[in-house]
Amino acid sequence: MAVKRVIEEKCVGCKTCVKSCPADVFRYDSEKKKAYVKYGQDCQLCLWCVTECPAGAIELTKDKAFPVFTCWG
Amino acid sequence: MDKTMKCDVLVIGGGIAACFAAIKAAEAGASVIMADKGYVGRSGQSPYADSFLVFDPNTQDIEAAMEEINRHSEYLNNRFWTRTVLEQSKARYQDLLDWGCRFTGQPDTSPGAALSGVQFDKTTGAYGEVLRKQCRKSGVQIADQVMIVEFLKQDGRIAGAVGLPNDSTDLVTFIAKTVISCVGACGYKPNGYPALMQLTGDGEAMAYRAGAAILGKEFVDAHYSKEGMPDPVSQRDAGAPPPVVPGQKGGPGPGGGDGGPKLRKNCDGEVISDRPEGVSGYMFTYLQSEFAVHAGKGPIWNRGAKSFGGAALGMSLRKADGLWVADHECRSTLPGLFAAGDAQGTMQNGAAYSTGGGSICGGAVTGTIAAEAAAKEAAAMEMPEVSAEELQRARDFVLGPIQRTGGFGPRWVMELLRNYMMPYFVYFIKKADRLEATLTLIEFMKEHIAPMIYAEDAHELRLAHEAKNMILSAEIRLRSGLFRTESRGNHYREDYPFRDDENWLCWTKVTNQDGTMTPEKVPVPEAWKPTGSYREKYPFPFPGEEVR
Repeated sequence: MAVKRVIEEKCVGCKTCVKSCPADVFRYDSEKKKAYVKYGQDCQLCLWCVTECPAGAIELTKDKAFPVFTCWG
Repeated sequence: MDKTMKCDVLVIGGGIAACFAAIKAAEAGASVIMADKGYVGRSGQSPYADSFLVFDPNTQDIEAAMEEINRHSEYLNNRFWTRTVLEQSKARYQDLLDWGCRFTGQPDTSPGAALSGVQFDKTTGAYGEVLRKQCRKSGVQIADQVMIVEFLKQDGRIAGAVGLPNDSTDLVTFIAKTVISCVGACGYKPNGYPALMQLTGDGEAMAYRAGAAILGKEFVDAHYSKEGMPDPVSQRDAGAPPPVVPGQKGGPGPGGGDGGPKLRKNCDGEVISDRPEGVSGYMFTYLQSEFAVHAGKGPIWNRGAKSFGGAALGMSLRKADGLWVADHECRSTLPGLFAAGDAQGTMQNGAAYSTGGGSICGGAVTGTIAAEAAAKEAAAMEMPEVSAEELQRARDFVLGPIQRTGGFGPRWVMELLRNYMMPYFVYFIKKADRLEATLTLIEFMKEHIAPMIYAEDAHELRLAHEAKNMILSAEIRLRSGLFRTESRGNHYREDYPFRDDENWLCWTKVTNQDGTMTPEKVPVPEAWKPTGSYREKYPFPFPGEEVR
């Protein structure tokens, strides 16, 4: 259950997810006045953003897994 | 554009120790800046704070409590810090109440009460938010989402630090009369333990590079989580929905405890207990699961769900690892640098965790002590001048990875490190040959890979430094583990499966001596050494211990 996206229609632009995320996954788009997922690959699945978002705007995916180990990258 | 900020006391971190340090230093009259990699109040392990130890020396028997902790800590607790935490816990609890923190009940300080904490009430607001408000109210200037990467040194003294904002490579230079490191514990971004994802050994790495001594890295934390990552919180049933409780502020505890003595079982349904037969009180090591796995008795079941190990990979036993503090005022061995909370190797709990809520309380107590000393020291001195060469050196260090056009990606480096350190036979069940083999790989990473990590933006630059810091931390951990040729508490050596009181009633201190990472012993005071038969002193048998 990882972060997939911020649902734009629901986002109230309060930046709570940007401040809360310990993995620095979110950024704030100052033109749209909405948060968005910028570094989704770094989500570590604490779901603190979901807990804190006052608008229920964080959409999760079941697809996310931790990265497969590779020989270089 | 880069900017420079000046203050009397720079506090690094944003958890309980940092908030206490900042508030108390400001109350003592210092100008205070607090810089944190996350957002103060929601940073690091703060959201997972569960309970706060409250002990009342007026109603409770402190000598009896000390005796219990000494035994549970396997005689490696620093009795000064253990006692100080017990003595000052109630005053720090009162601070939290005064500032607006709420708890679910009253602390039990009746004679004979167990050494455990009072639970934070998460329905009335996270305690982190309360502390943040109190910081602001006290006049503390908060720099959120700025990762302090490198200390500034002038004339042999720590005189500030250079910080990297999360979304910009315009660095922030902090010049300070005194610095208090309250940087959180070290982890390797382990899967399944969200409380540690921000905590990558940054504090100890910068201090080590600057010449400080690091203590207690051989005592590992053995929290585990559940099968089916991602499921970060082991108290939840496997496959349960995310920890969203309407109206509840603050995350669930990181979990991993045995959930009661009868709830954890091996593959044959036999109960695993971290508490030896006939021993009361708060004594856990969690290593019993590792021993069962090693003996082919996995998987381990916890409340009906399958557990997996290494959830807290990289973390030491709480309050064991950190900067060696040589005095009673939280001064590190580097002039100008203080350490509190998880940044300080207080050895408050010795070799095995011995008090519920003691870790958070310890942060509040040491934060307060460090603040008062740092503010006093700052009041007696002029603002330091840092040379242009030193500023340039630190700046180049911070920006190094982003100036590279290629090399190794930081995410891959972290994954590689985790995979070297993760196996239970490296991290928990130790033996010289396996430690040496892993150390060879980690040394290669340090020498060849770390200098060539590259970053494409500020976010990756943070990851690059985190990866480097984790590599350094892993090396300190492996060398400390190799050095201690005995088993004790949360340090188990298959090749030395017994406590060796004659040689090892000592702490392990690691320093950089002319470029060589060097462990050495710091003996505990003679008067703290235990008496009695081996089994009286150590009720916990280790596997293979009878060979002695």
